[in-house]
Amino acid sequence: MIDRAMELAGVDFARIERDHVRRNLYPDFAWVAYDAFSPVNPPRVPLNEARVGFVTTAGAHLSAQPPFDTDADEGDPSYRAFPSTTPLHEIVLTHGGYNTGLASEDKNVVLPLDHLRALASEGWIGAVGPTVYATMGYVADTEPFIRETAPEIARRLVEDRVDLVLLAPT
Amino acid sequence: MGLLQRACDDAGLPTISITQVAEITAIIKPSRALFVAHAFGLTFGAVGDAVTQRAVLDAMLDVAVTMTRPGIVDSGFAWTSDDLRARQLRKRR
Repeated sequence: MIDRAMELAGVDFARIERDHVRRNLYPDFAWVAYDAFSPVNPPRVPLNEARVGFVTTAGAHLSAQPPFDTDADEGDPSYRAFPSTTPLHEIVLTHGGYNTGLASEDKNVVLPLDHLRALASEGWIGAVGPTVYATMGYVADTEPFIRETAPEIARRLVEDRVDLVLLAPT
Repeated sequence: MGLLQRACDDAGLPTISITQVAEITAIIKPSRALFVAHAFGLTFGAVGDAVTQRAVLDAMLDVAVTMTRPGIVDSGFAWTSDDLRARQLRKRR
């Protein structure tokens, strides 16, 4: 277990966040707990041949796509998909849980597409997967997310024939 | 994040995620997670800090190819420029 005493110093954020959500938003909230780690799927190809997909919970979407619902107490289990070639200035961040105004000044802080595309052009990775998948990190009612959203994104990543998936929270 | 990663793991896809709160990831237990102690909303680094943003991405790729057993690895990245992360962890503005 990671424990950097200098910064956590007795702060149990999992409990603080759970209690905050229960008290203010969704009384039935609980972390979904698993007994064992998912197995590691080994790399399929060397990195310089790998098609790398990217998934973010930053609430990213195109301006033409509907924004995520930041008002729903149960959260928003939906997702958006957009081409990985999209310039960052065409991407909007809608999320109630972090400072999207600050991140919008340099979207690479949550969605490092400029760097990922550079890695491909420099030959460190084979290619960027064709589509970025984005959710909004606050999903207190996890049932529809587990039943529909997560398997659908995974299925689409398989269809995209990616060799590796990078997932980044906010 | 962890729930989505588990779905990708179940689909047979090699995955690597960033976790900013290791104790939550330890509950959900996806396959490979890299602990990055940056402020929420600044996952890859500060605004304009392209060097750190790229370094975090590089670290993800490195761990993706070197980590053979499931778990959480500490990247060593920390948020030192101000007390934003400390306040976020305590739900203080």
